[in-house]
Amino acid sequence: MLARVALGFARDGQSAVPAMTRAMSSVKLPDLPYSYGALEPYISGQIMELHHSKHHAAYVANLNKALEQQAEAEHKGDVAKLIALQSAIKFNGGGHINHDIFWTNLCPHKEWQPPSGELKTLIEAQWKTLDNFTTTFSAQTAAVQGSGWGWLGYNKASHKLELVTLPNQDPLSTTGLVPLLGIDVWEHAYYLQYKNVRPDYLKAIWNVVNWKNVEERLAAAKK
Amino acid sequence: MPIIVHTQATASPAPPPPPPLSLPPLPYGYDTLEPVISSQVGSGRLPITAAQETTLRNQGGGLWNHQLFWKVMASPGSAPTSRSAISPALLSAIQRAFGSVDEMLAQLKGSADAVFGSGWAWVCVPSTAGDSNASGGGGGGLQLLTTANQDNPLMKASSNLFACVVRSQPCAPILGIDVWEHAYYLQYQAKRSDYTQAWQQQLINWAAVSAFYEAAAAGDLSYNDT
Repeated sequence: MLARVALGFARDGQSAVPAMTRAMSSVKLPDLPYSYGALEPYISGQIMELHHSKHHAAYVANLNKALEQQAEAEHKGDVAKLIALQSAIKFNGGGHINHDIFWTNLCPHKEWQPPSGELKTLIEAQWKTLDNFTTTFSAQTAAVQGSGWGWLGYNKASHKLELVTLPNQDPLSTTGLVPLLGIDVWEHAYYLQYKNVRPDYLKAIWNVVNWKNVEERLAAAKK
Repeated sequence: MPIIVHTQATASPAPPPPPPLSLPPLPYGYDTLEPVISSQVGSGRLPITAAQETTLRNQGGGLWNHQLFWKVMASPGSAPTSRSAISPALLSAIQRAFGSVDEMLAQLKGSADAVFGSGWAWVCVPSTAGDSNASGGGGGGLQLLTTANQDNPLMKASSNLFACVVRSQPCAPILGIDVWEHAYYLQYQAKRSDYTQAWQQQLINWAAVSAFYEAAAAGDLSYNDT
């Protein structure tokens, strides 16, 4: 952490607060595990590039800005300012968390495999078939008003899977569920390719859902 | 403009459903069909389900908002988009509230750019129309505010209708800009700021906005009826 702190100070020329007083170092935009065009024809390369290099990048930049301001406010004991920063941290922090998960939830179609193991068992126990699961997920997620996400989450108390939708960039952690699979239905996620026909996007995306990743997240959640 | 769910009387053959947001008056008083149909039923002032309220809020709001949106825009360079098309009354109200037209537009743009997720930015006139609890007149003191999704500053808390409060004091929008991504994405992609910049500089139909101001300031909320 100390090495990071020193690096942070050197990098952020405008920082008014010495990096060693900051609670955390800068958040970074993760690389995609595939090229921008790898999810074609289901999600266009143009969308993936804008989505990652502009939208996710903006959440990262704005989150870092808000965290800087938070550290400064903490340093000065400015509680009113800390409170004022909370919505920016929630928006941009949520945006970063959600997209960080999203990129790993997707894979090129040629790598697609159906769910297996524990995940398959749970899906079938609750929705009978994968088809019924995806149809239900899509219908609920299509109904999100405005911007938001559809989520498959794991409930550690009940040991069950749950389907939830959330507005804007509210992360699934706000519900207590562990995120396994998220689908972004902000218009920027599909508009250039699917225009206003969100249901078509929601049908297509199942071709590039990385079930192996979802299984890994479930296994981690159950530890 | 309160949005009222209206149930039709069943004593006569059902007329065609009324167009949204423009409900025709009944040809008789709400108590005429008592005791078979109570005036409460006839007036439609019954609690509606949460799902109905959500649908009404989103679809009804969306309809009203976009109806206004088309009206407050005109072709760039056309006569109504010239600053000289701003009425003296509107100009005076803008100067009182914001100092200048440019300052108002800068603030509108700032608010529009800052909307997180889907929503709208509005310039509106506080309204007392239909509010029996209002004290004082509508004034005409312009306000700038933003709403989420298809909410609209006219939506106000009512014990009969919306359980969710949008605003306790309704405000009649005379100018609004849509910042849902669908409003700009095909052309500007992630650059909402470029869209709002061009929009507020070139597309505003000041003649229409002036007319809406005159109506709203007088308490007449029918200016966006059709």
